[in-house]
Amino acid sequence: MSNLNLNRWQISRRQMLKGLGACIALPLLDCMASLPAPSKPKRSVFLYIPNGVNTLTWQIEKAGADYEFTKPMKSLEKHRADITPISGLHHPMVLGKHHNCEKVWLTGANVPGDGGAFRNTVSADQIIADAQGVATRFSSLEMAIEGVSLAWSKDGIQIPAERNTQQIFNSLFGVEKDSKETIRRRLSRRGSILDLVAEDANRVNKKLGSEDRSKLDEYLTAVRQVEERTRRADEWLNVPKPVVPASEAARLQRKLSMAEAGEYYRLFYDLMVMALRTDSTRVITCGIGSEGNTSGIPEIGILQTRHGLSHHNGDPEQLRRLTETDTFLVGQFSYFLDQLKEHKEENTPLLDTTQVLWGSGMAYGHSHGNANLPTILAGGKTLGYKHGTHVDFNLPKIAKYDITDAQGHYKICSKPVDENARVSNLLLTMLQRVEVKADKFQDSVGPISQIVA
Amino acid sequence: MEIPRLPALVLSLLLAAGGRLDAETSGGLEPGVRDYFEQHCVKCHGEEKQKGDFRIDTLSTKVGFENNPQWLEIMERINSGEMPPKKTKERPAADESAKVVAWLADRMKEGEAALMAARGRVSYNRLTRDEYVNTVGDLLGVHFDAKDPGAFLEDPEWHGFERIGSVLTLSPSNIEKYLGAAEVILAEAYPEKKPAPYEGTKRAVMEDQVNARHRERLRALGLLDKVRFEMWPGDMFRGTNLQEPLPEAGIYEISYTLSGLKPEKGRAPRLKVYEAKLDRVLYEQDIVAPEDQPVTVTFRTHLPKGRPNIEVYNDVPGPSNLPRAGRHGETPFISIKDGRIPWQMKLTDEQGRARYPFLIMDSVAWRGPILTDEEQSRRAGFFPREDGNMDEVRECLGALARRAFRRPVTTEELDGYVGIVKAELDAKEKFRDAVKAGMLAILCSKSFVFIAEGDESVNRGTLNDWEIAARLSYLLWSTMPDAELFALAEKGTLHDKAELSRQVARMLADERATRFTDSFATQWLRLRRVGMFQPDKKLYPDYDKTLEASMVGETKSFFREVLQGGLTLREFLSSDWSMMNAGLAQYYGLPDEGLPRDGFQRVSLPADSHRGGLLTQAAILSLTSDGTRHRPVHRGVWVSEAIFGRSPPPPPANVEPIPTNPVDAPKATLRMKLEAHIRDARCAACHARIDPLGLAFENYDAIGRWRTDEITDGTGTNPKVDPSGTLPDGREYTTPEEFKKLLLADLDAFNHTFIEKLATYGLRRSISFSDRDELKSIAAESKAKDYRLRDIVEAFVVSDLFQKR
Repeated sequence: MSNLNLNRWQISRRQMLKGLGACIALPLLDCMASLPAPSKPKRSVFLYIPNGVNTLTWQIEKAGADYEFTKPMKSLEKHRADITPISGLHHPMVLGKHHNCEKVWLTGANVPGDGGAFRNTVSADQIIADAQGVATRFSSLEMAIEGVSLAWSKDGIQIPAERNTQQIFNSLFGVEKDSKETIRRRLSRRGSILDLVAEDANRVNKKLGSEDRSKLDEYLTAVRQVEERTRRADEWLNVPKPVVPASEAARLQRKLSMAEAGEYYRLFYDLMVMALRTDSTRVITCGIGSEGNTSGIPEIGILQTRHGLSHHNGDPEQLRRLTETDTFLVGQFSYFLDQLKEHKEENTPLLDTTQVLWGSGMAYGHSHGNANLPTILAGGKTLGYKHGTHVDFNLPKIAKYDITDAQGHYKICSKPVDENARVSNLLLTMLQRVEVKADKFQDSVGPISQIVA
Repeated sequence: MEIPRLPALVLSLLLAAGGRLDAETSGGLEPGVRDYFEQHCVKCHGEEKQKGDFRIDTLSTKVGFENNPQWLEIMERINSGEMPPKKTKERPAADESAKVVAWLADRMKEGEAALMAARGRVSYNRLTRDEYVNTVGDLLGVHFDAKDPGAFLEDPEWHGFERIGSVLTLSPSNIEKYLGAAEVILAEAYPEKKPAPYEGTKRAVMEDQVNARHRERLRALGLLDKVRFEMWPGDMFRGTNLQEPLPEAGIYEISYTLSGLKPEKGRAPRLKVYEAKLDRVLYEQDIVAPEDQPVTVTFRTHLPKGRPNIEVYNDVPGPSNLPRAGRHGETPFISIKDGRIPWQMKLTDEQGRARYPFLIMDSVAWRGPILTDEEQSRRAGFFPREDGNMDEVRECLGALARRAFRRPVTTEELDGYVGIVKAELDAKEKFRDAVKAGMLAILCSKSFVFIAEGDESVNRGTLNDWEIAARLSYLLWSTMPDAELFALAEKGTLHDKAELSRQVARMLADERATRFTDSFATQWLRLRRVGMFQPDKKLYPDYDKTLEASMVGETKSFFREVLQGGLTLREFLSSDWSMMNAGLAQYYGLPDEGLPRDGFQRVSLPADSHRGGLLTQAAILSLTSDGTRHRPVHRGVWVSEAIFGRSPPPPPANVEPIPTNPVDAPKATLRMKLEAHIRDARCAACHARIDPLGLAFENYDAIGRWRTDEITDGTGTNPKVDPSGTLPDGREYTTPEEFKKLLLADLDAFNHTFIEKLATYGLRRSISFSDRDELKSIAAESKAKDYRLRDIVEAFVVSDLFQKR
């Protein structure tokens, strides 16, 4: 990036500070001398829903620009110009292997078919965090409303997600109880302790053959990464955390639960929006539910777990309820897009600098069919996306959907129609949009040209 | 999907020409399997033709033992019926294919186990969350709340086991959490100043909380100190805190004095004490005590410094206290006999007995932080008495590291920790903080967070005495070795089998052995799955968290009773007794008189109880269900894994779902539908081996209740269930009881499985071929001792296997 750009960005950041002063106080730039130079944000958000959808009511039947939203997706109509529903994608290595699909949604890794030990590979968000995470206080944020983290490190180790909204708020905006001096001392003490324990482990590690070292390597890598985080925390110590106005702070610190699911979901989305508005991070993953035990949604009269509903056994009532929860989840997603549109930075809506992926690693949950995954890409216009169409990889081969033949459609959702239509292609496209230099991700065949401007 | 192009393989075997799999070199393939491939596969995937660019005859035949994912692919293709293709003229019979699939699956399982059992020079087994808590507790006498929000994460599991070294990974967050935890632990162990004792009692309703209008009236009547806080079902009491905040983190003792009125036909009120900030239930118990004879319940809990956020509930279903029932009025409550406030529902029946489960709270008392002299002196032993005395620093850190690392410490290691203290002192830190920094480094070191076995510089196949002490201690107590084990390791006598026998006896007599019985039973039987798929509230309104806890409690205490009562493995399969509390007895429809409300007591089961043994316990029957329906196939898989140690091959991808029962068709049980489903030949072969192990429990619904009819959609009457079946070997049963008898006749198979599970748990790794002989000799020892559980545990500890790396 040229200096000119950089300067302009710095200036505009100051201007924004002036403009927004009453609303959100951004960190003072003067203190940021030792920090990486500010850069123009390119943001990414990944949102996972468990157990697939009711594929019969979900499927958009027409490709191209004049497609019609199906019932569960109706609330996205107002975002038509900013989104692309995609049909026909799958992860080739996990076909038919079920409850692991949340683990590989962003990694595409192979899962042993016999329940054996599973080692994941790096998730797309973490690759992005390496490239885009250097300029912010947090290189990435992992959260989960229910369920587990979507993020996996380079060593294939899960990066835990925070599920407690108050903890999330505190780490983003909370004021430390201890004085800066005390924190600095603690950080420096941590630094020297980490040095020592790393040295101690390294001494042993050197004596071991490379095949013997995996656990110690894991330990050493972890220690070094914490050293890096500690160093980063130290650098950011002089930059005050962004101050959230009292009214918003109170709203974001409410203690809610799944008993009021809608409010609870929106609280998570609001926290994400606030994290992006304050440029606290540029990469967020959020698991919206767990494969096994996502709670019911009392406010729409559904008490069963989503897992229970997904094993609907063809029962029309169960299917109806599944569609209802699909509709609810999309409604919440639509709210998130509203918020990203509403908040502007340099007169550009946040949504335009944020690519958002919403989807599931499962399509037809009842018999664990995981082809034709429900997938929606949104936002990121200034990152070079072209939205507004339904991109469909099934239609070129099947010509036409016939939803009235349920078993026939379930087959499409269980076995890929186009073996080259891979989620990894989409993840690769997303990497490239935010300046990750990559021409391959996992088993990708190539980027998805239909969505790139 | 097309068959993927074969990547360039480094092949250990190049096979002879002519499409034949050479017998000499294909040692890995069983003849029948080889014939199958030669007859049905090689024609299209061999030397002459490579359909889909895929060739079988050049694959390594060490199925499962080399990295050859193609065999997995082949297994899945055959399993799904995709291969050999339907149009083939001489298509193999379904059972032939099933045999090949089963053979491949077994090899892959063996290969995987061997891979996981493979050990480098040093094995590093990370402490599990529970083990970490127990270990720091023993080390420094500090209770660490690892399950609080933001603390440690749940450990990953492998086939139910949570302590397998190769599966317990470590991420940067783990290190951050270890650092944070150690800071918290050391702050509590060595506070800036000794906390002042915190003590006091307060009435549930304080004088100034009584409405002024009533205050003087009641004072005049001498009743002001008799005002109580009445709690309707679901009601909450917030007045637990004393005026002052807690001075330091630590263990506090809280007592509630209260009455609990149980309606004649209904549940007892239940006291539940919950910390909202920590999201932790501190205590729960049913309370039954007349109004004029309140009881005092006391418990201890670990709390952080400051103001706790304690909510006390009467946690029992009943009329809501919201609209009209139990809203508290301005009129202070003194006795239920005073009658209702106008908008309330009636409190009592004609005889003056409570109509609903009420709790009536009198007072709360606090005491803490509680620290025993022993804990105090243990902590003091690791801390220099004299400021600035570096010799003492070295001595203390040495003592701490030795205990924390569960082995002697080298000078080089110790130099590092003392070095940290020096560096901190040089940076003008206070002596106290500098020493703590050294301790912090010890608690974050690899030697503390990993239980290491082996030497980095030489290959060693057996454990040394320190490692035996740790293995034994983590097996039976889930914590670090105690002083006695340490002393024995130092003396070098832990290789001695007579000594090991003595230690097993001593350790099992200790109450910490409960950690073994609870934890092993949970992992072997996969009790963590109970409640994972929450039972549907409409179908199972009786089900709640209290019942769930009782179900799991029954199974864990049943295991404990078999161990501690000197009983045999037979009891797990069939017994005429079980462990019961009042709530669970009611749930099973058994007499509940005289049974404890919490805790468990051994009871004899009536002949017609339909219970006995593990398999018909509510916990086991629930964990194999999906929350809505019972799952006979899941139950079969569970029996196959837990009792016979065999995991059936995975179902082929994309099986057609069991069609639903249309509402206008005659009702059918799940079993009937399942049987129609497995007419499909490619499913039948496997299901014939799995299903008979699960169909014996058709008499039990998704939460383990006994039934004779299955409630289902459709027309007509609910169909009768059919709990009969035929085992693969031809033996038949018609009831769950008969099925249990058949299992008893196979006791040696179960004996073998059980020992394998115990070894997996104890050795923290999967069991492989190379352990076979040792396992056999433990099994023989078990048989010689009539399969007594206690003797099995002892036989395992004194076996050669136990001392093997």
